[in-house]
Amino acid sequence: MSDVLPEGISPSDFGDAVGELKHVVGANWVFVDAAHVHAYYDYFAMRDPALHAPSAAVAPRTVEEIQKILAVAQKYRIPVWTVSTGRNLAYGTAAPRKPGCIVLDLKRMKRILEVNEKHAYAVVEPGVNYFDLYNELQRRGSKLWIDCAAPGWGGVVGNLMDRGVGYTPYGEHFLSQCGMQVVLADGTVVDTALGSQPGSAAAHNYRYGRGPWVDGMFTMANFGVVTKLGIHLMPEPPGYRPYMITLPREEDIQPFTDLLQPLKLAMVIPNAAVTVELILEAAIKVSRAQYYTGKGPLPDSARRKMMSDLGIGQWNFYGALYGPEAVMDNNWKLIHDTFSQIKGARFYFEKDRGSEPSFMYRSKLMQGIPNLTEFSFLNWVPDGAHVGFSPMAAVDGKTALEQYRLVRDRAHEAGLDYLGEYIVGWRDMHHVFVPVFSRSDEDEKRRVYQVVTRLIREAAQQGYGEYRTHLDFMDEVAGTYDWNHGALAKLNQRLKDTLDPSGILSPGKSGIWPGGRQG
Amino acid sequence: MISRRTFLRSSTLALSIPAGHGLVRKVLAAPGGGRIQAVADHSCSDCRLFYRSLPLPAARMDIAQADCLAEFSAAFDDGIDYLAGLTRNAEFVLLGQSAREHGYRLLYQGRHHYADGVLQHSIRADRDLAPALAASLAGGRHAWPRRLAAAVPRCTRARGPAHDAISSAVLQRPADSGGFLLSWVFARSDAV
Repeated sequence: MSDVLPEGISPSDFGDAVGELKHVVGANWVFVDAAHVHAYYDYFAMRDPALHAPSAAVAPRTVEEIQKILAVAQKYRIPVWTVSTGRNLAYGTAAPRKPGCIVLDLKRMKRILEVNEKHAYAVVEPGVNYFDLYNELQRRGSKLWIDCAAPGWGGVVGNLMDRGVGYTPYGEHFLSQCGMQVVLADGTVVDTALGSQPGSAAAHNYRYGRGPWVDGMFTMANFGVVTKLGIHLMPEPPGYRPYMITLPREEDIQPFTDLLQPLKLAMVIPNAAVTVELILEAAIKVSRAQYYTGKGPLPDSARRKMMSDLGIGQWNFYGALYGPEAVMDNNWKLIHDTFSQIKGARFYFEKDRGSEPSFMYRSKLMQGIPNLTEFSFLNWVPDGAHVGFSPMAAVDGKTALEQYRLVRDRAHEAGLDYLGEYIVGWRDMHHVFVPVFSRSDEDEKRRVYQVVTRLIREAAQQGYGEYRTHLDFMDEVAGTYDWNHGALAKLNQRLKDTLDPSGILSPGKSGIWPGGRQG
Repeated sequence: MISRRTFLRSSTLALSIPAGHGLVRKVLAAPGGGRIQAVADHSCSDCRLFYRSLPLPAARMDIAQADCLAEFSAAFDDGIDYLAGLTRNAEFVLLGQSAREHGYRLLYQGRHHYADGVLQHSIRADRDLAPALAASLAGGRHAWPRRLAAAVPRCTRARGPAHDAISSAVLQRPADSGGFLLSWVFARSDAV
């Protein structure tokens, strides 16, 4: 039995609640023994894992079971923390924001309810991960592509609900969402948009229906439990050609990004491409110890040797061409001519680097083939773990350089390496800084926590907001969205208190607490 | 209807391991009964030596490069009793997370860290095993993976990672090593 209890709940009441949950889903699907509950902890915790320790987990199979679970939660006032697959190691894994929550694990809801080849969409339950959907399309001989996050074991629904990104032209996942079913805290089941019309014939073609469009309200929130989602899929293009461009100098990120912006806006580069900094690129293949064994950030001499040994740049851009050969040839000429303006830029195709781990996995991601290769960067330091600090930016060179320097300098001041990348969407960039730390080094974990805390504040002062964050920083990040005396937070609070007055759904998610009370 | 074991397995179905490194695996007969899925990183000479030196009879052997964690998920689904390996950190993280989700628990863990011309072994096991194994590995010098392999049967009987022991040997990092490896043994909860 786990030694963690929900706040204010007696062991006796907790035991009764667990008994009722077992009655709902069966004893096999309620996890209270320490070994199983431990699997829901934050494996990459920077601070004491007990801060986010669940008391138990329950794994329903159906919407009806979720309704009954929520009724038990209401009865005992025990909050649940909803996860689809709970696999995002950078942002807290499956652990709840508040200790003692019961994890509502939806991995068992794994049905792919529909694949519509003609209209290019799928409808999935929240337990479906990228491998599941990809494999099902392969099994069917489908000509549709998925778009997956770099950690391919992630959930299609969970990643989208956290507004995650992938790397194909459908890389902004929420833009591909179409149709949603949600269970509210009181058990009410809502189909959104066109799906709310009985017999709707286009619920997964047209995403808005009529009246207020509420789907976005349930993303990154704690207003309901999403149990079904429509997702648009990309028709397989007639041709695909991944490429890589290396840039020799740190400051090249500025002209490169400025040259990139019109090509992205016009969709000459249609996919969610990435501009990867040196160490993150190198760490897929080598460890820090192979280049430097001292303390503090990697020195320039080691960086230059790494660039030379691996044939990579200070920045490394991965994009892809899609379409008929003639279109790809034409677009490539434009792309090549554009970036050739940067002195020292080098251009590579699969024939040049196809056997390199980085190129291989990036190539897979840009055609929607899930894999886990990106985790190799955990080998950068002994016992490597990481967290994500992810401010948004316009696709603008000056911004890219300034934001990079801000984060790099703070990392270096804390004795940490900068590992990061810009994921370049249509009109925005997700700057993802992934400080790698050793799970066995308490001082290093403390420094990572401090540097991210500081960056949240300083980034906000410069107008950069995070799109997503780890459990530890949800309140801090929410606090930076404070225009007009926190009007947005107050609106979120009103929604929370109306839709979930008992506060049983994922308390603290995105800084939204029941009754405004922090747990 | 999905089974409990399949549910636990489902989260790891068809997961690719980090590419370009490759794991090798084989199933061994555990000394006290049961089966051990042994795993090693194929790209590293220390790991290959460990793998070659495993002393137990192979109930089934597959030295082809496995590039997919589905292989290991199948082992979980098949009710493999123990999972033992010498790998880099990333593989340990992925396999370990999967193992925990299957209800496996860690019996033994070793950290093998080359730094400044010294290889340090940090062993976490029960009180009887940890100091003896740490000393043995240090004494083995460059052949430490062979001694580690010889200890795998004993590690399956470890009572959990409750005691720490550290040893070291003057030893340079092999050129093909990132400088840090993890050895580990997980056991199915009802196997111990």
